Amino acid sequence: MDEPRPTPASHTDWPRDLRDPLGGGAAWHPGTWALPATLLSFGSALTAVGVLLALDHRPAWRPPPPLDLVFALLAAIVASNIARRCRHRPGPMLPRLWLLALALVAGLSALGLATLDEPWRSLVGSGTSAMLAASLALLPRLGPRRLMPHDRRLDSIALLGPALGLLGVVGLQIVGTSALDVWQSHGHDRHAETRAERAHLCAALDQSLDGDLALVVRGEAADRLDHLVAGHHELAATPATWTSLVDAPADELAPCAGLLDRLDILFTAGLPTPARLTQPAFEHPPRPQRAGTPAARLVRASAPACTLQRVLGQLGESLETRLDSALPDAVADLRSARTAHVEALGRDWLDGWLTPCASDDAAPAPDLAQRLMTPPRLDPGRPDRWLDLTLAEAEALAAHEAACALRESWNGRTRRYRALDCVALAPAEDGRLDLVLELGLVFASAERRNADDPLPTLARSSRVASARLLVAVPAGRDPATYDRAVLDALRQAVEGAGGRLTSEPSTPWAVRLRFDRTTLAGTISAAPLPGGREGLAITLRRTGGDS
Amino acid sequence: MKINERPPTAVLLGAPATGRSTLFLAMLARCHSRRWSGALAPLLGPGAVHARRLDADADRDTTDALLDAYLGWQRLDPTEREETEGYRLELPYRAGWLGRATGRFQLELWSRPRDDIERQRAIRRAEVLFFALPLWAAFPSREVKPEDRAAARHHLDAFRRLVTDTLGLRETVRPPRSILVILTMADDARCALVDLQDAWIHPVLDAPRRHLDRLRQPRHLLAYLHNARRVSDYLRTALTGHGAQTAHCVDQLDALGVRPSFLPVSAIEGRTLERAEAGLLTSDASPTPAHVELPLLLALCAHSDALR
Repeated sequence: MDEPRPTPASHTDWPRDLRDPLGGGAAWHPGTWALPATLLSFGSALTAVGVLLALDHRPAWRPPPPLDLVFALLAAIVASNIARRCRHRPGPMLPRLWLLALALVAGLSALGLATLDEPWRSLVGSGTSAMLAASLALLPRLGPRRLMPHDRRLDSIALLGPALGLLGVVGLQIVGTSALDVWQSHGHDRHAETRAERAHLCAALDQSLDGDLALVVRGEAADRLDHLVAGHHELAATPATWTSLVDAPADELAPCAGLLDRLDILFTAGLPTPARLTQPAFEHPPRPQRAGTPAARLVRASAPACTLQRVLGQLGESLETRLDSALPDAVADLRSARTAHVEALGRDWLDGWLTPCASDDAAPAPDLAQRLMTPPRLDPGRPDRWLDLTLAEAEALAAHEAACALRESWNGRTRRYRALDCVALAPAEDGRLDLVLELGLVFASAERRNADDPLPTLARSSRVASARLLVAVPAGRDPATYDRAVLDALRQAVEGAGGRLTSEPSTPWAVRLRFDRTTLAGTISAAPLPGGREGLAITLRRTGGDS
Repeated sequence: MKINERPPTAVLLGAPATGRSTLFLAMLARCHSRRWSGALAPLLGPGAVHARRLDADADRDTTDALLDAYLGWQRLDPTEREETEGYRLELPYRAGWLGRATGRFQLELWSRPRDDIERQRAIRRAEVLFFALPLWAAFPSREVKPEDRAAARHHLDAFRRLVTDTLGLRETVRPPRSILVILTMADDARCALVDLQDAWIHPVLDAPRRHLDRLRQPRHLLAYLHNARRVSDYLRTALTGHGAQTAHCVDQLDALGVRPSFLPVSAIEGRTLERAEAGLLTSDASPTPAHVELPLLLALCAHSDALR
């Protein structure tokens, strides 16, 4: 038997830097800050927070439905599977609790996404990406079994967990969105023919409508519309195409965007529509900026739907009256189809399809058919009736018209004002919605603030003290000459309604509007609008005799 | 289920006089107090550590008796008492969905003859195999006495037979999850690996309390595990070096499909033990083990993926 050799390992073989069993741990290395399971749990939580912050900064990255539901289910499955497979492992409580919480929240989120309505659904949907990323970041816990705990790779794996989670959720989002697009495009192909007809119709109408902001006056708009409809018999010949506009979702209306924009300009003149007043030039205290408020965003979002609604009503009327005799069969078809769609719209209203048009969900849903057929309450030809509006009527308008809002302000600390603001918006070239027209009716009250009752109820019989019509000057038009065009348009509208508008040559900025029993005095002045735009303000009051 | 019918998680195998029974006692003493259980502290559950005899009186808890023996500097050499069959060490650890359940890790020390059926059955069913071999026997210094050189040769022969027998038993079953070659008596002055002793063993024996305190920090625990891997790699190189008699054994273990780890430990200070046995120990100092919990930690990780 051979003698045991003293040692085949020379002294130089011993790692010289190993002088202490616990030495060499790099304090700066995050992989050494906690045991791997705990570190992975922290990394997973950080991943979730990071994804939430990113989605808050970039809402466009949120998973669209039903991808959010898929994400929530995946997160719940992954987290619960990891929790099940790791439940027998020794170790501290934190990783167990984090896994269970993740699985539970993801499961409840999936349940909520399947049952909740907006806005809760969006809120829950935003968190699904974070939960999925957090779950995927824990996948290294199911790594290869032969990876011993004293393997240095464990440190890196703990750090790679968040990267794995982020890459996983981004990849799944890309794949899921692509699959969703393919699925939706497949569904869209079935309506390709209808869409083509619709695009053709919209293009033809759009080409015929060479917009001019002088058309903001109702009379001209109606004439132009009649001319337009008379020139396009295909409107009646293809009722299915026309009525398909009613059913089309907002994103499918893109080919008709130009048409809708122009029609918006046409009809917002006659129907003071949702407005977003931003210019504090009234004689009462300035109002707060509302552009960034949820209400203002709601108005912006609802503008296309409300426009379509108005267009349908007014075009429908014109079609019926103009083409009734010329194309009886087609009109009969259109009328029946339109009636059915008006009823459907009414149901959709109740179901929330046009909910953005209503500023108050609790308000009773108006009869849509009546809403479409009845002339607007605020007739541009009868400013005297604007000043007859009661506060209760103003409240009703504000409740049912997303374009109108009732606000309250105090003059100093004593005198109280309420004002009904109705605005019309039109898309600008850059896609934004710009103010075209604004009507402000100011209700004044002699009521004084009471220290015991800081918000007293305003008498509902309060009358309008003054009205102000603010017209935006179109780009490229000279404000100095455009005021004349606006006054001419207003004169035409007033005379069309039986009134009379006069102005003295020496004071062209002052006008007088005479009606049967009422006389209004008005002034026209320049009013700068936000964004450097020019505007014209016409302020109307009752004259001393009848105010 | 009777205790003998439960499959062990690990078995501690070793030839007589390799220090395996003292190692078993040291493991029990180290894990008995969770506070001072070193690298195992983060993983142990709230339950108590138990040691039981693997004989007809299997349910009898011998924990206190074994602890007394270890703290009294007494050897526990079952090979000299044929009536003793072995012991089982049970480590509780936290488990379950909410960590309220208790898992059990069992290490068995068998002292029956090689052809004993129960012993063979335990070796076949164990997930982790511990082989004990004195470090000084594998790496004796040039100055050892002739009788020690003969003893070293005897240890190596016995180790070779043990490995061959064990591999024969595991031929027909699935390979173990882990194989740990525990190089005992690492503090022995007859060992030639002075650098290893200075860097790995003596820092712990000189300041055991500080070592255990530092191990509570994750950074130090992870560094400890990493250094253990480096020591294992160093010893593997040494044991498989040109002309080394253990090279064949390492190759045999490799053939099982599991790369063995080599862990030098000191279950008890050899010189103090000799003085205690000679009745020359005057102080009440307790034995100080070094790294005896490390094999348990690695076996626990192999058994249940601890730390991950």
